[in-house]
Amino acid sequence: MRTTFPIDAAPEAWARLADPEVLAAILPGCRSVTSVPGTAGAAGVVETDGARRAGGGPGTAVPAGAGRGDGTGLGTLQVVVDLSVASLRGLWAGTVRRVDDDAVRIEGSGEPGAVDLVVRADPHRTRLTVEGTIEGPLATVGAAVLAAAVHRMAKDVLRAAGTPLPSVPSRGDGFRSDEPEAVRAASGTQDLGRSSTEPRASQGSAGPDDKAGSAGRRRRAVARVAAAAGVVAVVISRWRRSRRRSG
Amino acid sequence: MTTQWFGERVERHEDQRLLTGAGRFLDDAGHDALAAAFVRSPHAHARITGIDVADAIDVDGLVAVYTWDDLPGRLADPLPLLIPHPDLTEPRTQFALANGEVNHVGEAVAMVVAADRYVAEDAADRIVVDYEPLPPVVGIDAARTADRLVHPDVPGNVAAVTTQELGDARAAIAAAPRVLELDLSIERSLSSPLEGRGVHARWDADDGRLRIRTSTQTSTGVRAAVANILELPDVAVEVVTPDVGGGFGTKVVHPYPEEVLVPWAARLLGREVKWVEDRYEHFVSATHERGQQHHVRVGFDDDGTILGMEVEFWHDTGAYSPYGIVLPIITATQLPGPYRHRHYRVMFTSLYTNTVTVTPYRGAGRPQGCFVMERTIDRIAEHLGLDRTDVRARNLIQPDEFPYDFDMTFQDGRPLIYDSGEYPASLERLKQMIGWDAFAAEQAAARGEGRRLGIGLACYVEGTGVGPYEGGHVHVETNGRVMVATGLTSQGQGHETVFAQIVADELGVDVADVHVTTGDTRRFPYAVGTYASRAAVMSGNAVALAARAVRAKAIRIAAEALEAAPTDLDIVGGVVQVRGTPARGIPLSQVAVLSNPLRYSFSKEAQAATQFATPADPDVAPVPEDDEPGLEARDYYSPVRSTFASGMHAAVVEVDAATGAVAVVRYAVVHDCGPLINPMIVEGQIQGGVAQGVAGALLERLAYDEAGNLCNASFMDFLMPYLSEVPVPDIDHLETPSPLNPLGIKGAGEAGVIPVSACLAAAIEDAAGVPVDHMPISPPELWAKLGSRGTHLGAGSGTAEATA
Repeated sequence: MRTTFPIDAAPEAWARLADPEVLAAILPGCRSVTSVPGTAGAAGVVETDGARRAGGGPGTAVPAGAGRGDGTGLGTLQVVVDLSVASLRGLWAGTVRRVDDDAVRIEGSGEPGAVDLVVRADPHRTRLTVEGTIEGPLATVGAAVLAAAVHRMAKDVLRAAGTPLPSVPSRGDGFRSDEPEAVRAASGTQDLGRSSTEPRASQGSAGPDDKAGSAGRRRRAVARVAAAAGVVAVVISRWRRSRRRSG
Repeated sequence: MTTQWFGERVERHEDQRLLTGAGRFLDDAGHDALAAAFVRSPHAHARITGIDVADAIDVDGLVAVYTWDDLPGRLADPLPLLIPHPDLTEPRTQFALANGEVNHVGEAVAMVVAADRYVAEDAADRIVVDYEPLPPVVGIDAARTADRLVHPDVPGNVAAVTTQELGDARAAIAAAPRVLELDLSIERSLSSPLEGRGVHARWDADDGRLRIRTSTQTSTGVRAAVANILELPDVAVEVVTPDVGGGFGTKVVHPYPEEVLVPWAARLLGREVKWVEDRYEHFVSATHERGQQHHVRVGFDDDGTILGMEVEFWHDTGAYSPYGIVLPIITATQLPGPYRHRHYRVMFTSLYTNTVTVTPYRGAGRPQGCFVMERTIDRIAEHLGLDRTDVRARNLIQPDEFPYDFDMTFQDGRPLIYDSGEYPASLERLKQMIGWDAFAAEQAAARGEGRRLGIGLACYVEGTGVGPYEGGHVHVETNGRVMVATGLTSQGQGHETVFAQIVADELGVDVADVHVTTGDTRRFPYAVGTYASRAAVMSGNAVALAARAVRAKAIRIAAEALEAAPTDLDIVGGVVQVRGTPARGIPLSQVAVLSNPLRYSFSKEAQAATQFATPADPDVAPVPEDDEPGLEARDYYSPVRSTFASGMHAAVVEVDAATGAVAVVRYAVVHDCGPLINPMIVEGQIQGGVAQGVAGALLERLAYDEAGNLCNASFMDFLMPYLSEVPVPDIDHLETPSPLNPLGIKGAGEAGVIPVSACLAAAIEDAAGVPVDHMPISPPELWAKLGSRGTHLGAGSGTAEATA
């Protein structure tokens, strides 16, 4: 596939994208982002509840900023997401690797299919070009659907990245507002604002986020509001659909 | 052969199924299939500058959206040109999905696949297509003017120009004592089958086969096209035509975009996919027909004998030309009708317009040709003050003039030679049936009561049974059931019955024991299709030939078993028996057992065919070299050229001068399609044709505005006749056999519709006293004509210019 589209992102958004923690929070459907040891970013796992574990081991705290690389930008990240495109839903795992200052390469596979894409921004950061191959079920949904999904994801991610982190729920923005709860539950996707995530967030109290306890509380509060808004959106969406069909 | 079923009014085998709701139509299949819907162009002519599906991807249940960019390989090419012709110098066919430009309202731009049709339609509604409108070319006048072009690389919008000539028409007209010129036209219409188009496809990954059901008139054509476009082996594509609720020609186009897109999507997704055309889609994406303008010059003598005729006409082929120029060729070559022509020249120009593509619709160019010829003869009679039937009689080809060679090329690429006919007898019979000679008094009496009655008639010849071939397979099973298969499809004509009648007679079995399958490539892979009034002639003769081969084999096997001479045997009631000794016989079911030497018995009866059952000649193989196991045969019928049916219609109408309304008072038909296989079915065909013809003459037209919008694309606005508006014709048959095929039969499918516009135009003209040179004619149009003519008594010609 190849698609080019305009983007409008705050300058700081690009820098934040290099932060695995931010990426984990804003990537729709993200389950985890792991910095691959030996690459530009340091090792560590960031789960969608914001907890950070060194070396991928659960519950192990790592120093703040350990996942943010060495200041040269994005290293290689392993990403696990619940991907949702049209009726396709499924777990997808892959890597995001910096190609140069303007591009990253996304490779991976999973139930929805295999992806090998290069995402390149123009020097002015006003347009993105996504180019590469898609195989498997994802390749059957049509180029226009893929392009629309990519556009939306890119815009959602950049918009979220341009927003201060505390206001970015990792599962709210960019997540399809009308995605049925049942699907989310079945696919294991979770919304930060849901209470089921809170214990895990609390487990992270030994981590760096705990140093900013009030910020964490604010973030959870915002997340709850976002979750509530999402539920309302789902209800409204379903009501509208049922009206359309019955009408 | 004992003739028992051929010619009988056998009740239709298919009616029990169809009339009790047990028919299986396209939409009865694939209930769990994904549904397809199409985003269609709202513009007659536009460039596509963008397709945005962002809003659609939120629709729950959306599976895919495809545009031209998604189409692989040959699927991205323009669809096939079905019938190339050397004179079609600028052929254009559409893409399965629009490739950057749309050329008529309704052209498919994107295909949506979703969990069900509701979801698919919802998603389709959310797809935003950006168009850059281009100036449209709407109607023949605009196409001829060519200020705008449909296809920028087609100068003058001209797809083709063709001329055919018999003798020297221009010289003959120049030398004729009398000359008339006329302008005549017919508007565009469409066939409106009860069931629209539809296709259901399933990809069987286990055996790599694509199984397609489609409401088509040519299953083998769809199979060949899909296999070719999707680059699959022929054997990997199976096409089954289920019960089809009418086709009338529009379903002969193959593949329609949907017919290849749905199978492609099914294979790609690994899921069943189905699309069923809705009525709006039928109006704007299934093909149309009829729209033509004609200019006539005819030279004749004082008694009305035609000395020379020159016709130029302009054919609206719509946005594309997948069917080539067959339609205007049919008009050009069928226009002469049953009349003797020594000098005839016809030239036509096929023009592109930004409207739905034009392909054959029942009658297929003949209603236009008949309208031109019959209006011309009426004008000659009027000009000379002669009775219209007298002028016709004077010009009819006589029975001793057959075969009558026009020295022209017919639509099948074969010579235009009429094979047989009894035209003078038809005319005499028609005059009796309608009461022609007594009508003047009836008309005068009605006028005295303030009623405007008029009478008209029209004659036609129809080339039927066009090649290249059809085949038949006949198999007598060991239970005595006779299974017949032919590759062409059925759209309600009664093929299951008439083919069974033919085979029953050939084999000497009960017609109820004969079971016919049509349109299933698994059963019969080689076929052409059902169109052009060809099914009975082509497959009827093919199954007859196959049945004769089975009969010969059955008698040979039975002769051995009965130790009798084959020439002494006959088949009566499903039993091969010695003539004059009915008790000495063997049922066909047992002959079928004996035809298949067995090692393993499968029933008590089958034991007779096993290896130790009977002493065998040790020097003869169980299945000799020149033989095959089984009591079955396959054969084909391929004619050297078409056979020509004929007919004449007459009508009495009453015109309401206050409203312009036309009522058909009585209608008579004399029809000659050779020996009738089943008179009831032929009469049904004629009656249906007359109904469709009346609709086309008085009610149905497709109203495009200047922007190319079809303004009456629904049954709210497109007027189909009610039963109350359709006459019940008085029908009589002549049965002039064709010398060209074993059964001597001719086609009957389209005949009823061909002369109706010409016939009613003549009758309306006679009743109203105003010229009718354009059909259809609506009450407001007729009312306006009446108003312009004051008291409107007496027939008149407003446009014919005469020179003496």
